[in-house]
Amino acid sequence: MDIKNTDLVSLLEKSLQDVGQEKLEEIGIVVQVGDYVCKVHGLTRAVYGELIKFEGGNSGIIFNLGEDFVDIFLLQSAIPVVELEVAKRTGGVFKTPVSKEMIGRVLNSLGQPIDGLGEIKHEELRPIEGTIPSVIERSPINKSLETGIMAVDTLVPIGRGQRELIIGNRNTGKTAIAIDTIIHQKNQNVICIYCSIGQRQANVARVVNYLQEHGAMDYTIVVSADASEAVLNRYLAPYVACTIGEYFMDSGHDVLIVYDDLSNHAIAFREMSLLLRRSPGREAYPGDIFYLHSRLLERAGKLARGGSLTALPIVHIQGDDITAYVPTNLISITDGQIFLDTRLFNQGIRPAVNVELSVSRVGSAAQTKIIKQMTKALRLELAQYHELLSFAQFGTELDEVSQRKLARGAIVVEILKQAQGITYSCIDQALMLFLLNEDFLDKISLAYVHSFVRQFVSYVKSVYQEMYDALTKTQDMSEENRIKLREIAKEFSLLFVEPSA
Amino acid sequence: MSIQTTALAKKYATAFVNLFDDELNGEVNSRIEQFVHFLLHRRAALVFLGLPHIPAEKKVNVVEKIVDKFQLPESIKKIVRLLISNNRQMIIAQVLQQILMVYRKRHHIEIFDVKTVEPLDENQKDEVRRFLETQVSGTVRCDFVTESEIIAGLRAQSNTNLWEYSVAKDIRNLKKLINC
Repeated sequence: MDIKNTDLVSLLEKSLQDVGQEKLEEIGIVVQVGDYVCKVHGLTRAVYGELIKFEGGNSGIIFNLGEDFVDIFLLQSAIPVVELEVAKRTGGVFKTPVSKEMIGRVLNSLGQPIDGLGEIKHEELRPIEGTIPSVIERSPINKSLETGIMAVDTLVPIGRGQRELIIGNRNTGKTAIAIDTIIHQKNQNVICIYCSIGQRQANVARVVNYLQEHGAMDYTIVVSADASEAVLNRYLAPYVACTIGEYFMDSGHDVLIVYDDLSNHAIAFREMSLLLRRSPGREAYPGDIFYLHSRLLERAGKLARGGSLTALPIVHIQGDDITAYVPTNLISITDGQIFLDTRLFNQGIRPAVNVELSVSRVGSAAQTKIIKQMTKALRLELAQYHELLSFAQFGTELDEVSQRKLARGAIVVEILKQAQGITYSCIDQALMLFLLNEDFLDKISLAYVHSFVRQFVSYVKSVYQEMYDALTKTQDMSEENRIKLREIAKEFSLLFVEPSA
Repeated sequence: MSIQTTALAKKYATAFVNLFDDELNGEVNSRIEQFVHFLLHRRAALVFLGLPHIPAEKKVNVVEKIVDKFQLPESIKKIVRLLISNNRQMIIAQVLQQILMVYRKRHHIEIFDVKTVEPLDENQKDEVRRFLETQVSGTVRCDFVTESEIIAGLRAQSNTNLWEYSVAKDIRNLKKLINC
């Protein structure tokens, strides 16, 4: 920004005209400065969460109110705060800018763009901890949010306004599920927000590139507080992302928000609490760690006046132990969880969704009719398969029924395998499941099951387009449709040639 | 001075003001201020008070003589004696500072450091004092100092309030604007 001397003079002249309009400002004096936190004497009438501006240009948020001192966490790590510096009250809480222009942009935890694509004109400033929609304002979750991932849509369906936790060890594909879900929202009229908390910048850059490659940035906002940022920024990021999401929800949009991940958020809050000398509890987390996440995730929901906010929080665990403090908290707060199993991942089953430990508490009500019709016994079949598999591994001689169940279970597992970046619509999924339910896959070698079902879907789409369109329109697998599809499947079975043959 | 020491000093100060509020007034307060200044700028005196092999009576005698020099009331002697007997002689200055702060808070007295580039005449000083009194709705004591860093204008700052109209402030605001 270029400033000429004449500009300075005119500015000073203008300010001289305002003599007498200056008001007495409430201040405090910095008495101690530490790691992104400072203690200020004075500010006697300041309130919790108030935004404080320092004379040196930095700003911060009050996190502790004492009789003589207040503790303030600093927002900018680059601007130093020195002892005896004056800290001024602003009289308001921290607010984040929100705007429709944010779509397609990468923002920091203060809502400012960091992608070098220019400034964003904000439409309004919103407090990051607004009022949560009341019971009266909410409506039941009854519309499905398709993820495009068959294992999720069929077994742990997610509804618009639901909070579904993605939980698993490191490198089990947690982010991949969330990112694929975002990619699948193309042309679904859903605005997506990906909030990265305490991750490496390279990871965030990779996610942004991946989203751009798949054309998902057209409806996505990325909010990032990377590992190098001040602890307060990592703490604020999910609240800022949620506030942006609420802005779109209030204007009637369906919003999907991914918090990647809340383990890092909890760690940031623990760091802050320890710096504030609050009593550490289990795993050194403060007593209000539950409230930290519950008040964030309670903001998700479906509004009666239209608009919804679906939350996909991610949490990582160690050694597949879901009984750790933060994961158990999140499991109890959310409406279900998708548990990603390291064992399954290493066996090549991807997405490595552990069906027994994954659950969706409200999603089944929102599941589309056609998927519901097709997945009646799927979970049971898989559970039986996993149970029998442990016996089979011991070399136990199995009866014919058990062997049939094992064979069928293996086909189900094969169908549910899905590569990253490839998503299926609900009709595609229904067609694949139709083949399974009607026993068309029993004679296909396990290695070719996947290519059989995928080719069948393409076959229906291209040759029997009217059939495909009818299914899309009605979302119902009627008896009439079943008969027609049986004929098509028979026809396709004759055409399908296994590569080995 | 640590936060913990301040908290402790404040407890002593609050108790003192509860008991001897009527003994404190503007003149006594200014003498207490001088005494505090003396203690803070003569650390050797405090070191002497901290030496364990010197009996407490001797320490009390010395401090009482200093207190007498400053013509402080008997109540101040009492609090000093109490602190020495409790082996808290190192916080005497802080306690006295806190006594002044607690007293001022209770009586709505605010002390402003008023900075100007040029020294003000008595009329101007009165005007500034009156202006600040209307702003804080209480009694104001002003310590006037000249400060070239504000370039032009006036800056009045207390522990809890700030009124500034200066070129330095405009420049600061401009800097922030540029940084944004």
